[in-house]
Amino acid sequence: MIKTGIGFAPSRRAILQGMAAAATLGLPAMKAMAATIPTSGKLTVTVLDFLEAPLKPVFEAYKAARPGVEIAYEVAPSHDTELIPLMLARALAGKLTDIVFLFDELAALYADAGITADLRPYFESGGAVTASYFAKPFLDQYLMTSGDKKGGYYGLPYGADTVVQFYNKKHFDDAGIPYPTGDWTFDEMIAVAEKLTIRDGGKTTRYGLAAQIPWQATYVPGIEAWGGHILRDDGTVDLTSDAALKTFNMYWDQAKKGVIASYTQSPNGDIWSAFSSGFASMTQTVRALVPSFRSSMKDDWDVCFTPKINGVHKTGMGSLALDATPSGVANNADLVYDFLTWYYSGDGAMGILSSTYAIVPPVESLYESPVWRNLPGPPSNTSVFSDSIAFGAINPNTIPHAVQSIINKELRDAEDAVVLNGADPAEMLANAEAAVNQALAEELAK
Amino acid sequence: MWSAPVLNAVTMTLEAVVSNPIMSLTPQRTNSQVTRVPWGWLTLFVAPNVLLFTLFLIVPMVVALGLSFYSWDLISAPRFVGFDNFIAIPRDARAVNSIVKTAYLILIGVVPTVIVSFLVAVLANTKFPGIRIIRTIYLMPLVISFVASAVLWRFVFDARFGPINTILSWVGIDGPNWLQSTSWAMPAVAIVIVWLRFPLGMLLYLAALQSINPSLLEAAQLDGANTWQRIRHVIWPSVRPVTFLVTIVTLRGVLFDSFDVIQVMTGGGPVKSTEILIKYIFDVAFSQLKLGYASALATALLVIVTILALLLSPPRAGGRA
Repeated sequence: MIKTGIGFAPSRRAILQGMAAAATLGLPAMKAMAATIPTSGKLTVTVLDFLEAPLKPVFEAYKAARPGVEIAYEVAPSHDTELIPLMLARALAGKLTDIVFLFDELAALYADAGITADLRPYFESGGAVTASYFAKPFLDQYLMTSGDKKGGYYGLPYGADTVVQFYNKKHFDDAGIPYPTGDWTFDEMIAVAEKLTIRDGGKTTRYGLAAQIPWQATYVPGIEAWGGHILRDDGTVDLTSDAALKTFNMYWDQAKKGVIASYTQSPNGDIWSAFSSGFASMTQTVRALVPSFRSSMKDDWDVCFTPKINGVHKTGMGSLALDATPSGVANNADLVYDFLTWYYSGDGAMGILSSTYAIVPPVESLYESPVWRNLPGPPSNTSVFSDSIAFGAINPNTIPHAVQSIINKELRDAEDAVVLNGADPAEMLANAEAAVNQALAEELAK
Repeated sequence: MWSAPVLNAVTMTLEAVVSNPIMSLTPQRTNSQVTRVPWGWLTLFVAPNVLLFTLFLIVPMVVALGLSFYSWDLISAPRFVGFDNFIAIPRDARAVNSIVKTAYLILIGVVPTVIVSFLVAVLANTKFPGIRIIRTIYLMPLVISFVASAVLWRFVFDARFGPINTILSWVGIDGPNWLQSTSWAMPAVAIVIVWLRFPLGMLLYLAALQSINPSLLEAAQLDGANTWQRIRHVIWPSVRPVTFLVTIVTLRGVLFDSFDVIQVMTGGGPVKSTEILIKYIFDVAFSQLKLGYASALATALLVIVTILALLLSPPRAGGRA
């Protein structure tokens, strides 16, 4: 779900701060680490392109902690249409690396294709990292709930990402509007967005809110807040429910008025850049974007909770992941398991990545950790990132990737038809649902 | 960037090619008969091209044709489905839409490219100081990558900050949201395609124009033909073989190479208004992982191209086209 495509380069100082702070994490004792620390061997990793910069220091730190161990990584494109054929081709050719990074949307596909391995043997290997070590909702994204992989874990969360409201403090100051506290309703947020919107003639020159409307992290929590679900009991996708219609309409109505910028209204379709460039005063996105906003924004900014919808607090949630490959487990299990255990330890990736603002550790015991909470702002209101996990809503991982790609496409088209051409939202959602469920039926018939 | 000498060299080469007896429509005979065929040299020169052509065109085409009879998602084993993939095409609304959009793009992309190429070539064929520099400028789109061009044009068409709408506003015209409009997105894409494609057409036409016997034009002038009549009755018929070549090359470019431009500029939107067949094939293959169905669509595209090529240049008696 969290496909931001944003890369960043953490400073050396930030890394050192992170490693120092990590010593205060108070993580559970790492039995496996103390038991057998490898002194030789080679570990290979495939990283997504936008993760190369943050993970480079992680790999360096691992090499420093394991003298004699070699670690080699290769970069894979993050766009689905390039990444999936590449990984499937490598799997077919038996050329997978020991460890791969992936998106939650791809978990089932990767598992079915034999790209990722079931991690239950790792959890049961006697080390400190077990299934209960992770925050349940984030690990459960990678728990297969059907098919022959049912019950297996095919990924470990990279971070604990929830969607929060980012706002430009200068725009609020200029408009004489008090900063939001997060205790607000969707209508109140729209009223603020309307005040922040600037128009020149009939055209909006600054939007109140930049929102990725046809994104599951936007519409799934909305639908749930209105009492609906994205999936029906029979497993089909429900885009025609009253809850779905209300959810999309409340965003699309404002997009039509020029208050909300979605894909088509944002320059180059880049919603996050619309916020960071000052083209929009607020946006709704995840912690992974913080390093990018910190490096690119001139104005001061902060975060708060996304507004309540229908009196209910719900927000999008998800995470990237990493996993061992079957060949990695078969041929290099000691090193693979050692890396994973080190990765989630205090002096491993958790400390380093947290110190760069990139992640909230996906480990409940670290939600209050100073390693990420005490970093200087912006953002100052860091508790929002962990507190909103309590009301997070996750897109079901039972939707096959091929179908999810149809959902994304059809909803984007529906949005353009409604917002640009004034089409009837109910009709557009019905068309989208028909196309999606046809694709789902074809997928299930395979 | 191409310099004037390079342009001249290319122009001369093309001129030589167009005027070469082998390229001529009528068989040429020479007095001296070839008695020995230098098979060694022929093989040496032809083999690399044939090898690469076979490896990267023939083999993939045959594999794609084979795949079109299977259902395959790169994960499970391919399953033979006979003609199911082909039968599914007319029932697939997105496929039909993409074929219609492809036809629309051909209409507003290929025809203007041929006309603009010809007219610019006629202008560039005149002699005045600085003409070589102007010719070089015209050729610049040839050396810019499609993706870079598309990024540039996306900015040019920006409704708020783009130069086109800014210029239109100077004369009181409220320009459209080019790339966000289902009506204007495809014409915007076509403009970019014409811009990218016309330099090659111009180059081919220029070579052909320079091979026209000047006495023909002088005779027409003496007979009282004005400029338009000379273009219409002397120049245009003289470059007809090149028109066919430009049309085919542009058609192929529009059908296959427009993917980069559309992917960057519109992504096929808004509301599938620029989703041409090659873009849809890409989505089916690499987003939906339906390799068999995508292969069937690609085969259909090949058939469409072949039919269009045959319509433009039907085989003639004696086997010469």
